[in-house]
Formats: sequence, C-alpha cells, structure tokens
Amino acid sequence: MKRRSFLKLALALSLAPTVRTVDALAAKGKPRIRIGYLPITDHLSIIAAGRGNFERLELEPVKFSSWPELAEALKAGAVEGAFALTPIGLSLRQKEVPIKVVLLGHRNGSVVTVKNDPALAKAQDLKGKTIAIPSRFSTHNILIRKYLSDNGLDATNDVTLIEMAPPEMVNALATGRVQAFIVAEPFGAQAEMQHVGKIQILSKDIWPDHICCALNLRQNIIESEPAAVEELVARLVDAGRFIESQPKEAATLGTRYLGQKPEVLEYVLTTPKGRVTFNDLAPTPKDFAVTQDYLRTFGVSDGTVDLGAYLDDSFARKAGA
Amino acid sequence: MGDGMITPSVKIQVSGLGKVFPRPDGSAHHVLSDIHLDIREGAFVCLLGPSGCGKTTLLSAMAGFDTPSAGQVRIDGRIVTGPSPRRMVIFQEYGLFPWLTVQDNVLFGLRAQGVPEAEARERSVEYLGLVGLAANAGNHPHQLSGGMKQRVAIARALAVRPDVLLMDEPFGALDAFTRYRLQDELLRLLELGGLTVVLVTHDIDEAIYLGDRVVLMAPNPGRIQETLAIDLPRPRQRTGAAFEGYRRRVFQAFALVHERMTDYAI
Amino acid sequence: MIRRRRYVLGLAGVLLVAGIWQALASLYTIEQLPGPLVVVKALGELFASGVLLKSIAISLARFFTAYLLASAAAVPLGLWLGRSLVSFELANPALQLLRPISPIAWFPLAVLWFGIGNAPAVFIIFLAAFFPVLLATVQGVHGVAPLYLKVAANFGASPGMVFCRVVLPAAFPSIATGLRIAIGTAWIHLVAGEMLGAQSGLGFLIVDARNFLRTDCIMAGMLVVGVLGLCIDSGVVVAERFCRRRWGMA
Repeated sequence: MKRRSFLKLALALSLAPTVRTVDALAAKGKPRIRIGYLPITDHLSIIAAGRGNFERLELEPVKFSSWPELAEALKAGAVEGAFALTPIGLSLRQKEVPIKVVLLGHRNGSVVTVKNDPALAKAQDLKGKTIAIPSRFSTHNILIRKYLSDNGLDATNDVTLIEMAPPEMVNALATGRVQAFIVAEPFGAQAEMQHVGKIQILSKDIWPDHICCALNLRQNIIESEPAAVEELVARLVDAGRFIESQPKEAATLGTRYLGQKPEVLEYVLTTPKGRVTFNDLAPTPKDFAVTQDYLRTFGVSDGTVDLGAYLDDSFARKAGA
Repeated sequence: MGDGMITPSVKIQVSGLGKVFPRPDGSAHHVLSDIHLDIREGAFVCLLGPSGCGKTTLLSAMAGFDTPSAGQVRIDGRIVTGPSPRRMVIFQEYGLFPWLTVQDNVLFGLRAQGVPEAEARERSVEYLGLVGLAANAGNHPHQLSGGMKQRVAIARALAVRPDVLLMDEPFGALDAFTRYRLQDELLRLLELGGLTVVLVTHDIDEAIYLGDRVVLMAPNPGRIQETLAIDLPRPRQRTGAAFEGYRRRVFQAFALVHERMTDYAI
Repeated sequence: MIRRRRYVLGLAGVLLVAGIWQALASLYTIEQLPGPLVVVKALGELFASGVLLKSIAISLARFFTAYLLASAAAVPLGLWLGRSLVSFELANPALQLLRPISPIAWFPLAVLWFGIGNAPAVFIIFLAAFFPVLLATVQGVHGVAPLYLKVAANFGASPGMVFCRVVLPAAFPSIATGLRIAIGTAWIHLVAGEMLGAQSGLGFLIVDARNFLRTDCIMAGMLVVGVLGLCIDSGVVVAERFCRRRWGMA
C-alpha cells in the first residue's frame, strides 16, 4: 500500500527531529544548547554564535517573534535557555520552573518615544495621554511608571497605559492611537527613522544602568554541562565587548540573527552611544531585588523569589563580565 | 401464473399479522390489525388502498424488513425473520447505487450471493438484455430516465433468481405513458415463470390491470376490507366493459371505506 | 467561450482590487500601507535572496504532512464512529467540546508536547484539519440513505461488503466535502502554526517581517499565502471532479 508507507514516512519526518528527548547531549558528544531570543537589540550578544566555533557546545540560536512564545518554550524546556525580561524570568521562577540566571543580556536599551510633535517635549506633556507598553510583566512597565512618578505624575490617574505588541506601536503612534510608547530598541529607532516619532528620554536616563533582559538557563544543563555553560557565558561576554568596541561590524553581523538592516542596528548602537550597553553583565542580587520591589510597588506582582538560589554569577565572574 | 389444472401450494401465508406503533401521546397506532392472507405460488396479488392503510407495512413484513407486533408471515412454510434474496423488493425510488454502473448494479446482488465472476457477468448481461438495457450497461443511473432506472432495478432483482417479487409502488414516480409500458414489460418478464408477485399500489387501474387478485385495504386500523378476484384473460384491455365492471366494484368498495373512515389519514 | 469570459472577468476583478489597493495606499506611508507595486518589489527581493522559495517549500511540506496525517487519522476514526452507535455516543460530546477550541489556543500544549520547530506547527495545522474531516466522515456515514442499506440487506450482502461497497461510496461525497473544507481551514492556520519558534516558512516570514516593520514584506507574504491557498483549493476541486466522474456521481 503505497499510501500507507508514505504516511509512515510523513509521520516519522514530522515527529523525529523535534520529539523532545532529554538528550541534548546527542551522539556528537557536544551538547546542543538552544537559546531563545527576540529580534531586538537587547539580545544582540547572540551574535556570539556567529563569531567562531565553540569547543564545548553547539550553540543554536532560536528566534521567537514575541515574548509569550519565548516564555512558553522556556517553561516547557523546549529550549535550554533564553534571554527573558527580568519580570518574566522572576515569574517563571516563582512558578517553580527550574531556571537560573547566569548572565545579563544587556543594560539599558529602551527608549520613550513620543509623537513627533513639539507639544510633547517633556514628561509633564504626557498627562492625559495614552502610552503603550509591551506587557505588564516588563521592565518597560517599571521604567515608565518610575519616569512618570519622578516627574510628579501618577501612572494610574494621569495617563492611560495600554499593552500592545511592539510592531504595532509605531503605526499606533503614527495614527494617533497612542501618543507615546516605551519598548526595546530598535522599534523606537525605526519610529525615528520614519519621522513618526522622536525620543523623549532614553531608559538609561530614567534608571541608569538598569537591567532588562537576562539569560535564563535551565538548571539541568548547568548541572550536567558546566564546562559548556562556562564557554557559552564567556563567549557572550566577549560578544558584548565586541559590540561596545566595534558597533559597525557588530551591526553587520547582527543582521543575520536579528534581521533589521545594519543601518538600523548601527543607529541604535551609536546614536547616541549608550542607548544600549553590554558592559557589566554579571547578575547581582541588588539589581534583581530592586526590580522585585518595583514590581511589588507598582502592583504588578507580589511574589518573592530567593535570589540567592535564582542567580548564579560564577560563570560571569569567571568570564570577567 | 397457475393454469388451473394443479392446485398450486400456498407460497406466502400471513396469519394474524398486527403492527403497532406508539403515537407521540402514548396511544397505540394500529398500522396493521389481524391480517390474514394466503397467496398461492405463481399468483400476482395487488395490495390496493389509500394512504395509511398499512399496505406498505404489510409488504415490509413479508420482505422481512419489519418485525410484526403480532402474528407472522410464512413463506414456504418458514417464518420470515429478516430479508433474503429469495424475496426481492422493488422500491419506488429504485434503490440503484449511483456510484456503480448499470451493469455493476446488477452484479452487486450476484456478487453478494457469491456467484463466480464469469457466470455473474454472463447473467448480468442476460438480464439487462431481458429488460432491453444491454446497451446501457456502462451508464450510470443518473444518466437514465426513471423508467429505465426501474427496469435496471428489476433486472438486478431478477438476476438473483428469487421466488418472490415484492413491489412497493414501483411505478409511482413515473409518468402515465412510462407506467403503462413498464406494466406490460413486467407482465412479459413474468411469463418466464416461477415468480410469486405482491405489488402495492394506490392506482386502481394498475391493480386491476396487473393482478390476479386485488386486496382492498382500509386504514384505522389497517385491515383487509375486501378481496377481489380479477377474472380477466391476459392480455387485458385497459378499456372495455369488463375492465369497467371491476373498476366500478372497487369504487363501490372504497365508497364504503370512505363512509367508515372517521379521520383522514392524510 | 464561457470559460474565456470567466477568466477575463476574474482577471478584471483582481485588477480592480489592485486598483482600489493602490488608491488606498496613496493615503498612507509606505511603512503603514504599501501599494501593490511596492509589495511586488518586496516579493522580488524575497525571491532573489532565495528566502521566498525556501519558505514556500518548507511551509508546503509542513502543511501537507499535517493535512495527510489529519485525514489519515480522521477518516478511519469517522467511519468507525459513524458505524458504531455506542462509540459515537461515547465520543461525540467530547469531540463537540474540543472542536470549537481554536487550534491557536493549543499553543502552550503544543510547545509542551512537541517543543519548537516543525512539530508544533504540524500539530496546529493537524488540529485545524482533523475536526472538519472527522465530522464530515461521521455525517457521511450517518447520512447513508437507509434505502441502500435495505437493498444490500435484501441481497444478503456480508457486513464487510456492506461497509466497503455501500457505506464507503455512499459516504464519499460528504467525506470529500469535509476534506475540501479542511484543506482550506488548515491552510489558514498555517501562519498561526508557524509562529511557534519555527525558524522558517511563510508564517515565520510574515511574523518576522512584522518585527522589522517591513509591511511590504508582510503583504508580500500574505499575497503568496493567498495565491498558494487558491492553487491548493483549485487542485482539490479538480481532484474532486475527477473522483466524482470516475465514481459516477458528477
């Protein structure tokens, strides 16, 4: 029966490569480590995958299109690790997903973009306006609330915050549905380049050197392959240095992993310098504790995670991050 | 049909047959009540009556599609408990399988009976020839007229060589001209002998034209009102005093029926 | 003659839509709503880089795998449920409960069971195709005219013969309709299915372009999805017509 054998083949083809077997440690000997990321400049250090061969692991970048899918995959163990927003990581850890943070993805990196209108020059001009954020569970939510309260505005009563997918934010700004948004780059830069919006403030000026995304790895890979994790972290730190020192080259390589044109990436990295930084990437309890406090203060979540158990900076320190 | 010299045996014997259906309000609807009927071998009996008189149910019980609530049907002395190719049914809607060709339709019954393929093919051609449709062996039913479809159904039924032919208003869906032709063709086919026929109809002329006996049935409850022997030589004339005479008698019987009908079954 | 007129009118309709599209696009910037010519240019760009053909090939492979698996599972199951009243009464409430759930809502479970990549996408498309085919098959079997079953019983046909030679052919039109509807529904879910960490395919192309605000690429992807969907449906119509003619019901 030709039909039956074809069906068997189809079944095998579709299931074989992706049935999740615990052996990321495949027949090759080098463990395969899949790292999930989004096409945002915050995750640019993933270009480490394209900078030479790895000795002790096979690094497989997995590009997701939005946070929920990435979080789902990390939760289900479909990837060995991912760059996750700190609130997302904390939330997963609270739900007892066995993950640990071994490295920060970056510092800073977001921007408050407002409509290209002289009337929207400073924070107080945002009173009564609608501002888009990617998700309640984001550093951006924290940043915008801090920004507003630093300037005497109350996030609950003086503005309207709405959640929106980042790609839609630029159009929403253009059509006037929102008057401002805060999100990871390069969406802000793209709004600038389309002359739809302008920067009101960089996130680094709201909360200097704030953390945003962190590399969360599943505990079992840390425990079973510490040497591989060590190399992974070292190479990511190295990539960060590369981005800081050679933004133009980094942008060119970045296109392969992120997808935006090199000019856009370069713009984000250089204009102005410091929009997003890749220094000082060792995870510290202080940064995360502050984040948790903010989440509590702003009523986003009221959990507490044992940061001593959640964070592991040994690899980062060894790499000199 | 019997030649009168030898008394043919009773082929179909209906004794005390009753069929009850529950009505929505719980009361019993006697579709058939205490039916007694003996049909001789080789006879052509017509069941005639208005809607609701139970004639189709009676035929269904003879075929074995319906189990009686009371009494039984015996064919060749054995109680009928289910359908059998020994008693083939011809339906008003033909019942041809639309996905099969005319020939394959005829072959269906033969194959179901396990007739070897070569013999089955020969027989199918033979019977299609008998009904004059050998040339249409490769057509599909939807390509045929109503009359042709019924002829295929008849060929299909006869091909398995049954003893009994049960026909449920077989020509009801056809126009008058086709009906008359098919009635004659049916009689011609039956001359080949060996078949006992029970035909259900509401067409008085058809009953008198075709039947040796006409069983008049009435509704509420479904029962046999009267039985008429049609003593006309074949081939029969559809017009003429003798035919008219029988028509008149049937009408009279039905006038009685009308008087006694307390509620209409329509 | 009539066929030529149909093509001409069809083409005119498409051009009319393109004209309206162009008119609408002039009210927006290229990033917001690109016109047909811009989109065609993006299409060329995607084709030249090889991305387009690769995406089409991968999407089609996933799609047909999922569709064939779904049909292979649903038709036999539907035939069985159609024939066995007890099984049907057992399974039907559960099926009716699962059916209205959009395949997209199964995302988290898909990732949990199948990880990322090909399998969850195939799973989502599978779900989209499975239920229509299953239900149509059951209905097809239930809808077999009792007359046919009576005729078969009259001839003393064995249960096997009744099933293979009466029930199956009688149910076929309904099954075929179900297969055709399912292929359309499944194709629509292609984009959704490929959003789950798939690294390739038309759906991935579209959502990726979305992140880059390349509306022209998004629309180019949409156009390709639409055209391919049309081709698939036309293919099904032709196949259906062929089967019907062969089986004598056209």
